[in-house]
Amino acid sequence: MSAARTYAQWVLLALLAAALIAAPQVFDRYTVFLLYLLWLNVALAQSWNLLAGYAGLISLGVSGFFGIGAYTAGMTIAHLGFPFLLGAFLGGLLSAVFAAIVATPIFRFRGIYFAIGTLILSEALRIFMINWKFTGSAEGLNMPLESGASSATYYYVMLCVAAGSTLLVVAILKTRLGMGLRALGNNESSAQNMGVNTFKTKLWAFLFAAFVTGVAGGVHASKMGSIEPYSIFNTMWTLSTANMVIIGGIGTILGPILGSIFVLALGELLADYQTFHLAITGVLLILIIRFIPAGIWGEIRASRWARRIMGAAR
Amino acid sequence: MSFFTLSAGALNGLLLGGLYAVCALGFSLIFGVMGLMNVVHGELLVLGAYLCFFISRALGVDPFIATIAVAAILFAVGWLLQWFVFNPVMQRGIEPALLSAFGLSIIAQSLFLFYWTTNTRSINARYSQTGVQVFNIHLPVMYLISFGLALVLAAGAHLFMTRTYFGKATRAATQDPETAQVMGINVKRVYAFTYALAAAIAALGGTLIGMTFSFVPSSGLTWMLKGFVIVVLGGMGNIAGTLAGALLLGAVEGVGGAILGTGYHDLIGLVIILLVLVARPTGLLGRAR
Repeated sequence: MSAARTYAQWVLLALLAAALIAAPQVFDRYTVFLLYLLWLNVALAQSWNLLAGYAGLISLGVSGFFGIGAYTAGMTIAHLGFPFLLGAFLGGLLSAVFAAIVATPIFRFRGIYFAIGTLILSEALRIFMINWKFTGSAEGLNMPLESGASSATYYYVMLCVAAGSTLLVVAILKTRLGMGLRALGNNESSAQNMGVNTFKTKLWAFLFAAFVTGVAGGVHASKMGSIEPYSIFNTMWTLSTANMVIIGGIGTILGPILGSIFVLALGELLADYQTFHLAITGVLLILIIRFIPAGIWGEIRASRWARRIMGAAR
Repeated sequence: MSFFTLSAGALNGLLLGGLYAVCALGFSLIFGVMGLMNVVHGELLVLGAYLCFFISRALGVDPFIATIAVAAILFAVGWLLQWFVFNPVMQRGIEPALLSAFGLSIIAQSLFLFYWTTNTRSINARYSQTGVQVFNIHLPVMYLISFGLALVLAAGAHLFMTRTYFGKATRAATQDPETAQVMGINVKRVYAFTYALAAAIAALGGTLIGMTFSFVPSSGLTWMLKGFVIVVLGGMGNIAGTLAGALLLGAVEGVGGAILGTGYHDLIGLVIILLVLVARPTGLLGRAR
């Protein structure tokens, strides 16, 4: 790659960063909220993609980890008076602890059993939380008004979570762990034969995904101000996350981001037909799986003009 | 906690297991024949329930009569889904088909929500909320009907699979799709027929759910997961195993619900299955896939 091109990339990146930081000062409340949702989706999509796109572990339990984060933040903010950032951090931590506890049994499942195992886990959590009086059972809980922050603050926090998880995924993929993950995704038994500690590799990816998802859930809980199990543990979180990654391009870094933008933009275009929006993303998902399994970004990347523009970079 | 309460819970649960069996049979069939985890099965059941609700009301007939029409509709829907959504991606492994089914589940749920709103509905007949007393234990009539239907259906499915040409072709395609194809069996058509049949059975399952309990657009997930639990307990594609797994799940849930309270009823099966899967990652009677 030539020096000029590298330089141009850095300038572009700096401009993008400046634009993202300036956004809450420029745009109206609603647009800032949409961008906040975008960062929330990017954070969920990136962590899901590390598991599904690289390690070949299709988790259908996003809502479970998201919910643990949300409830940890909600409980500590409402009952212990913790600041919301601390609550969200603890949410991520507890979500990762939960992941560590269930890792040993759940990694015994392969392929489709892993998918359903994680789905069962999150559904079991949902039913449990609907009944658990400690967390307010079906009614959920309210956080005090003064514990919340301005919408710009939430925007910046979620931007950090999204950018942080993206950069971490990039970093992880460059390490030995990342290579192990890719080897796993290609063929688990041969990865094991080649000396990859498959359990440890999966565990780190799983913990990372659980942590990011939990933090995102914690921040979102504080942003909402009140949470209840039906919406927080809703499988729709899982569905939409998988949806965005696959539409954007599974197993790529830009794919989850493009997918999140695409799905959110589509939602805005179809704002008057809220329910149809989901149906249409479902149709898109099926069409993408059938005709362009590499997703939007995967397809662009493979095309000839993209290769010419970007060189052999990625 | 008396012995009486526990045995009442167990007996009711066992009978309810019949309803579970009807709901899980199609799921088990699809899983067994093509290795497809049909996560949209719950929505097929709920679609069956909605169609039965509206058709029986519009025509003023008994829900079970309406089910015949609903089964025909779902048979066609199932055939089309397999032909246009699943068959084209079946060659590429398990994940594309699983995620396509996930996509269908999103579509179905949002369409239910759009056309039929979030209102809780149940299908009513004169007898649907009545019960009988046996040894002082109250048994809902619907549980008894479901149990009877489950036995008839399981026997019918078994005969179909072992005695008819199509059943034999299906079993051949299950064992080895390539060889079956070479032997002149149209595997794609077998798959479409299997899915269609499973969807038609789901029509009856939906009717039973709607008459015994109630349903909303998002009810499907719970029933699909019950199907999965049953398949893991009883072995996939194994009709007798599915029936046994369903009765076992029903009984265990019945006893567990009596001990822990009805709110935890649906949780029990899920926890048990996680424990079972930990011990045997491919199911109790499952073979390695």
